[in-house]
Amino acid sequence: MALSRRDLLKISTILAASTAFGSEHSKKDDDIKKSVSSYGVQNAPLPKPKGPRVVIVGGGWSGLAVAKYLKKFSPKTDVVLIEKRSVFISCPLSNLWLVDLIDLQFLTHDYLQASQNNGYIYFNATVYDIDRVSKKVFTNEGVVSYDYLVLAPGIDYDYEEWTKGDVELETKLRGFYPAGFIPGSEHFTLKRKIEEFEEGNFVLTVPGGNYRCLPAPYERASLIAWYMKKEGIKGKVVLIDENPDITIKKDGFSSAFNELYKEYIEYLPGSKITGIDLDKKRVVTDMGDEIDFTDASFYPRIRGSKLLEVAGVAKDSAFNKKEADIDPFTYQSKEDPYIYCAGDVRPMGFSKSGNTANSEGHLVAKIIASIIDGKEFKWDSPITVCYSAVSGEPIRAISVNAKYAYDKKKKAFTFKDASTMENWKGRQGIMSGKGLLEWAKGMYRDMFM
Amino acid sequence: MERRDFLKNSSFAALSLAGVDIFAKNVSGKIGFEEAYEDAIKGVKKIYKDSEKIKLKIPKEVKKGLVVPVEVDIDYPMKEDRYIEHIYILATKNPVAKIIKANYTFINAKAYLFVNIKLSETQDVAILARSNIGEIFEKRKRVKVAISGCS
Amino acid sequence: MSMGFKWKRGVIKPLKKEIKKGDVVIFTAATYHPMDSGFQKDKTTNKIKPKFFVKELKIFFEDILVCSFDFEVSASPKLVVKFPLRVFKSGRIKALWEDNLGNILSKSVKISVQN
Ligand SMILES: Cc1cc2nc3c(=O)[nH]c(=O)nc-3n(C[C@H](O)[C@H](O)[C@H](O)COP(=O)(O)OP(=O)(O)OC[C@H]3O[C@@H](n4cnc5c(N)ncnc54)[C@H](O)[C@@H]3O)c2cc1C
Repeated sequence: MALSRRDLLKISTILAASTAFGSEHSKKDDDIKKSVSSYGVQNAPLPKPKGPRVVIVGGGWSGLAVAKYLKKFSPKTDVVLIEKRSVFISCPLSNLWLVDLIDLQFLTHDYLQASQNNGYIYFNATVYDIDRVSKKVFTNEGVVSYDYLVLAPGIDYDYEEWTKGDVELETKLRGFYPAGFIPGSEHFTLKRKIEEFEEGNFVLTVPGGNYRCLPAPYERASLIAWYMKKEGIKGKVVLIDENPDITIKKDGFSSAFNELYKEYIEYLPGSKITGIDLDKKRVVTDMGDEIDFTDASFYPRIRGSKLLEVAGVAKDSAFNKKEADIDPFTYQSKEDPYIYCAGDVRPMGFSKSGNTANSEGHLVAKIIASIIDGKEFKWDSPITVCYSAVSGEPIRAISVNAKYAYDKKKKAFTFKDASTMENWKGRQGIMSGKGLLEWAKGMYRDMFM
Repeated sequence: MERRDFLKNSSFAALSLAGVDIFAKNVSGKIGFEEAYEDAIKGVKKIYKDSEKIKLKIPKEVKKGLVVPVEVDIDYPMKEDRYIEHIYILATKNPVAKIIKANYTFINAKAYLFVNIKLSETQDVAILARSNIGEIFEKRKRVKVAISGCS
Repeated sequence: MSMGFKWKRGVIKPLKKEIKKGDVVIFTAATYHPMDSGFQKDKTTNKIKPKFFVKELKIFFEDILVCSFDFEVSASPKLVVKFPLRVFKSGRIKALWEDNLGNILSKSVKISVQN
């Protein structure tokens, strides 16, 4: 039966009603979305810049140095340091705090003090987006415009090799067995684990790639072993190392493992973890090891902070995923001439350590100041100074010093003037332990005073 | 302390560590490439250089020279009367050029070998497969050890 | 490393699980050993670390030697070797490593062959 004109009319009214209803609905949705985004696009409550504005994201070891020295080298520059933390906690020396060799106060510092002392603005906010066209940084506290942007957000973890995308496992690893290589609650949890540990295996891992602070996992193993020995705990540290050997200060660490902690450290080099069963508390490696653990802290591979990807300036490096795609001599992004990247996000194979990040911060400040003031600048090598404690009371330490030089033939950076002090025994080791504390104090002074 | 001492001992995972001087030079205990090669070809009847029979899988570039995977597959019968008896892996510039010698018989059924080797610097890795009837099949491939930290 | 080194880690295993009579099976034999080249100084004692390396790996099927490998210091400390073997019956495959100081490590695996 064919439809009559009346029927058609009826249908069209239904249609009209439904579209009207539909559009009304989506209008409401739009309103909601709008209100969220219009709230988000408010400008941050910051004074108008009085000179070219350089925004630095990340107040860690490199960002703090960039902020301070940029203001020193180019006083007319308006410097804003955006940092999501409200208190600075130092990763270097945190291993000593884990076993009560220093107190928390030694590690914590005040961002406001740093900004007051050095004439830049500390803006306590988290950056979640960057618009390179309008040169705006989006934070949870509003939008900040920049003339130049420095990204120094540090690292993120890369659990992929272990979890193969199993986010449930990743969440458990992050939550219950944190790595303790990004300072904050991870470190508090780790300290609690050590304090509550009674017996059995305490598993620690050393990842592959150019991971943050090469000696730190060995230092941590030594100090936890030192603590177990001192407290008479019937346990040992099982250190599962993806690398074929101790990656740095090898003789110093291996002699400490053998001579001081024979019963307390089981070192398993050349072992890739192939399975982690958190219910059974068992780790399996490609070398056939099956390790049952009482507790653990799993340090996975690292990658550049996800913020680099958000900004579109990330690229896989020779060592890790998603690091900064920059010119290694100018630190300028290859994608965007107004963006610079510094610290552990760099793709060069430098040591990912605090001294390196700090001295690089000085250099990047010099580079940006020169560009703003239209002057020439010369590349200089970052400096790696890295002490590692191997025991406490008295603190004994070993150390490494190095600079870098570019080898044109190899097209790679190599060490320059590098040396290590790996004898922790006798006076030399104790002097080096003192050197460790003095080094840290000097660094905190440089960042905060 | 000399820089070389440092490099050789503390392999900064990073730093193209690669170049890691795994071995110091000019110390006794070396086995040069010539010597190792002579040793492998002693008494053979024929050498097939750059042999197509050998499939060699090895990375072109490595960061670290401490664990370099090498995989060899040789297209040869492996029958009771004719089989690959030895597979040698040599490195042209390692202070000790000999790395491994595999001793097989027909029971292995395939002339295949995988092994992790050490490389001190950029150089050729040479495979010599020796049959029980005195032939040698040879293949070489260059491995760059030390890669740029800044691509 | 050599000083305090206790040699105990190693594994031998077939790469596939289901093995039929007459299959050519690839096995992995892996161990970890310092593989000191004899050219390096120990930075704590300042003395040369003597050569310390795996000299030989022997593979047995039910106590019959089926193949072997000779090494020098240039093999990797992560000493993974993969080799083929035609398998006719169920039995125990054993890997036996020996280093230049006469230390021995042995690991084995039982394989069952379906007809
Ligand atoms: C346990 C441990 C021990 C160590 N020991 C030593 C040592 O003895 N000596 C040594 O030299 N080095 C050591 N290091 C390494 C050193 O801590 C790092 O190399 C250094 O912190 C790198 O500096 P960075 O500025 O790149 O990153 P970080 O110091 O991590 O700073 C990054 C900052 O960015 C902030 N941030 C990230 N994302 C955002 C965002 N979206 N919005 C706002 N802010 C953001 C973070 O909160 C952080 O404050 C150690 C590290 C650890 C974990």
